[in-house]
Amino acid sequence: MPGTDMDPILSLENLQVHFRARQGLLGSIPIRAVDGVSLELGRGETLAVVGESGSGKTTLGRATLRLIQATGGRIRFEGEEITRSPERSLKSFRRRAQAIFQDPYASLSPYMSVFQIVEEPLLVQGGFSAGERQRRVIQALRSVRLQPAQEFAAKFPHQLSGGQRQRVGLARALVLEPHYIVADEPVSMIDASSRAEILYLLRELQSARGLSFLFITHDLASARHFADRIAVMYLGRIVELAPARELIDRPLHPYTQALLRAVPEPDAHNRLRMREVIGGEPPNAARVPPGCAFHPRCPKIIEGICQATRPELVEIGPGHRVACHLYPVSENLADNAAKQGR
Amino acid sequence: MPLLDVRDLVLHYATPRGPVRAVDGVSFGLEAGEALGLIGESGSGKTSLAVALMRTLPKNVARYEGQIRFQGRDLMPLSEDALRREVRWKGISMVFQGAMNAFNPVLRVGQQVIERMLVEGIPRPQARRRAEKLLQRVGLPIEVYDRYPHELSGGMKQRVVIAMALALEPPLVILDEPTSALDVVVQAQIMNLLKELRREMGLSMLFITHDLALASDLCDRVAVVYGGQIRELGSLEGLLERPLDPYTQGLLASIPRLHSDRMPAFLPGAPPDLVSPPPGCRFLPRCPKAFARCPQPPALVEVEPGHLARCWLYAGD
Repeated sequence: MPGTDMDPILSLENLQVHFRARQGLLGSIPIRAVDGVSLELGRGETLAVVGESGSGKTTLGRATLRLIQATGGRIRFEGEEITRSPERSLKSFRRRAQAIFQDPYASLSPYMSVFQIVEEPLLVQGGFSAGERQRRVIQALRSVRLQPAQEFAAKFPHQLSGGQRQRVGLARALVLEPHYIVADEPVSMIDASSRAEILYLLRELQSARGLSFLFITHDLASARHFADRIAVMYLGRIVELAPARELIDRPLHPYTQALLRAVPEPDAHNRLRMREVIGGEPPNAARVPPGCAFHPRCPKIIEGICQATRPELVEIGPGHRVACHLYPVSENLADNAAKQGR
Repeated sequence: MPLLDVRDLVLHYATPRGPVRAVDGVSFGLEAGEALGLIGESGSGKTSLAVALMRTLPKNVARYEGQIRFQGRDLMPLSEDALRREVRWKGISMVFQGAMNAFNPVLRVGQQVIERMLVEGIPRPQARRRAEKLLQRVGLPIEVYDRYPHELSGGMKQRVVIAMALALEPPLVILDEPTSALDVVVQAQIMNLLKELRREMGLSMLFITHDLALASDLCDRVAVVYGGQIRELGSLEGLLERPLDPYTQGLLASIPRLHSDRMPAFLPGAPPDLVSPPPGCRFLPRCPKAFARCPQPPALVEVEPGHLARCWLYAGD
């Protein structure tokens, strides 16, 4: 696994993104989309951030790119704090940090040729001659295997398949030779039989160029195969973080366990049994429960503790961190529970 | 006699580029109480197949023919009026993809559930009682009846959509990607509900999805659709354990597994353009096992009892 102990490319310290959403005519309610996330992304590492809609995973990814302003905490990128740097000083950061998005249909302008789409970041960044731009665009198209590159450069998005469009999006992200890419659900709109093609490509880029990825997904099975580590988010917080296989094979948090049990697998026995599934609805960041945010849905709730105290994310095995009062039960908390239980 | 028996069904759409052969000679049967999965990727024609069965046709139909026998009666000769009165919703109902986002926002939920009952001439108080029962049947509290759609979560809305499809007690429900906009936990809740409805009401289901893994949560038999045709049809066990068609094999291998180190595979290339599909086997341009016979169109033939494939590998001589 790429060294996560080494100098990380990205480190987040108690990152918060709170904002107010309008409600009714005059009112507004606070939304805690990201609520105290600390993590480090190693060079050449792929970290999957997994969660349901409303977990804050997309907001987290955008905040690390400074596309959404963090309201608290710190973001360090390649050793430099960028949390509140003014936009004009972010030019070099913008070259080094890029994104690919979920929808390869919506994120490409239908009026621009593939060449123009991939060239655009070079024009925005500035300082590249026409010849240099030409060279870089063709090289980016080759690196995502849109070959022959000259032929694809002349096409328009409607002439491409979903997988090919997503590769154009990836070429656009690569053309500035970034070090860090946020891939937000990069394959969820692509046909199942073509998904792995994109994921292999991302992995190849990761190892060939030492790229670091924040892979935002709802798909735990893909995360297991294509990420080094997995972070599970619930209501703006990381509830569990571990090496990918460890997290899938030995999930500790009851929420991770519930997510894993809900994943459909092609097994003919499944149709004969009911799935063990937690109740309740996906989380709502406008109504974050006190204590452990998962407690209203948790099948393993410890009465008196989980409603009252928010569990910290603590390391309980090599590289395996979990935010849950079940692990480890400190004596203090046990005492509290005993008192409250009386 | 099967509940539904479809023979050589064809639905083509007229476009400036020529006819789109969305459903191009589809045959299958569905027994009472059975759940049949229709698995297909985008552009395979799986939703058009549902459109053809319900006859909810768009204006640009170029060709619509074949046989749809439901409860022994051929639906094709029926007039639109007779179909609406006697079959649609009452005999075969449908949960449309994205229906949970198609509620009327200013009408209370209950009002929308009883709409079809009122059209049928069921008196309002009786319709209300039946709707409340239905809401409870799909796992919702009665109070939902008086709520507005925006007050419900996605999972609750999808339950209401299912209740609406059951309003006239049809023996067969077509479900088109009924969980596509839902998170995985809510998806599992809805799949549990569908299993319950099958078991307790004896409902027959045609379950349309792009997700073979999801279909294996519910379906007794599965048909794999590609390029407007069925490529393989068999029991769920047979299809998962001994997939015959190279496309089915590829699809199965592309599913990432949670508890196996085997990496997911992929099929290079893209599905055929249904305006000008390959003249022979429609999977030929992507098939890793193509050989000399494949430029001729293969027929769907029974390879093992109850297990059919449209592939020259199994055609014999």
